[in-house]
Amino acid sequence: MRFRLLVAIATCALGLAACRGEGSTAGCPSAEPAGTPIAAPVMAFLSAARALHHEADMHEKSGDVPGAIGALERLVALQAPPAAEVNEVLADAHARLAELRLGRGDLEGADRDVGAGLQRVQGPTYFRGHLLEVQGLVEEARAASLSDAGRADEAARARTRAMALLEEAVRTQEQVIEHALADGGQP
Amino acid sequence: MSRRSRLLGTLTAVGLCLPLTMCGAAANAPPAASPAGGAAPEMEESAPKAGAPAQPGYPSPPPPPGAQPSTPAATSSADLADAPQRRAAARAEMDRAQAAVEAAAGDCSAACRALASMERAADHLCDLGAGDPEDQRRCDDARRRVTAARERIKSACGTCP
Repeated sequence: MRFRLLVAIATCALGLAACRGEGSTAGCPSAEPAGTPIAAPVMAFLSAARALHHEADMHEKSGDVPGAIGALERLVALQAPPAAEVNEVLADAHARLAELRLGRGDLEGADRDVGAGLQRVQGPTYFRGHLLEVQGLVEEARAASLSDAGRADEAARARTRAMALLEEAVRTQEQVIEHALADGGQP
Repeated sequence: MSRRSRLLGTLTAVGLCLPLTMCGAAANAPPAASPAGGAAPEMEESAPKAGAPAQPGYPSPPPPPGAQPSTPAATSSADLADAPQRRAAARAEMDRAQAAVEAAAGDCSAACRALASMERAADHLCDLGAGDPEDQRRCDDARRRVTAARERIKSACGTCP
């Protein structure tokens, strides 16, 4: 799903850019005057991001989680041109990295990635909601780990944080759905 | 009106718009300028002409040298002059309809993606909250929100993949 999401973002951006490059609006999604043109650095970033997600997919399929993490670390280290699409792609990559690190028990690394991702997206967006969801899972895992270590008070605090984050994720995605389906909700 | 109904309506508009555009291009296009002193284009030579039925078994006679290709119906020069504008308007309408279809499909896809995240978060919330009455209340609230969102998406988009 994540790869398809990235493909959708990249295809949309590349398609719009191609339409605008022709000097004609024929065949473009809208014949109305184009907005801000998609800059070449943004297109290059999206193309590289798509390739690196694909590489991470291949590593994951072969059970090579460190390889997948490596591909995604290269993605988030790419020079990022300032654009909303770029921030969404980076937020999504950080969420994927956090999930992979969480699966390996690297809670601190997962926490860092969630934090970096949240800095990229504001307001009620799918990407922010997903990052909150992953952060809730990180705190849930931390609570279990602390409980196993006999640190009950710290475990209870982590559990409280986990529940608050998961509730926030539910509310954020609820707003995303309302906005997506509302009449006139188009940006 | 549900999003799905509007999507169907827009698709119908596209379906109606496309043939109109194509007809406009085929029937109302001004004759192409001929590089050879008015000789008919190759396609028109091989195609039977409307309004001039050929004798069965005999090919249509070729147009006399220098003759303008005949139009199927008596088309006024004003109609011919308007044709490019009408084609452009039809194309713009089709583009708008296509954009609306894509936007509606994109909205449903985004909503389904958000619902999946919402369901996962609620599942974990309820796992964490098992046993405590206050936590159970929070779990129930999250479940209610998920159910309402699922119903909302179902009525607007149908089921998620």
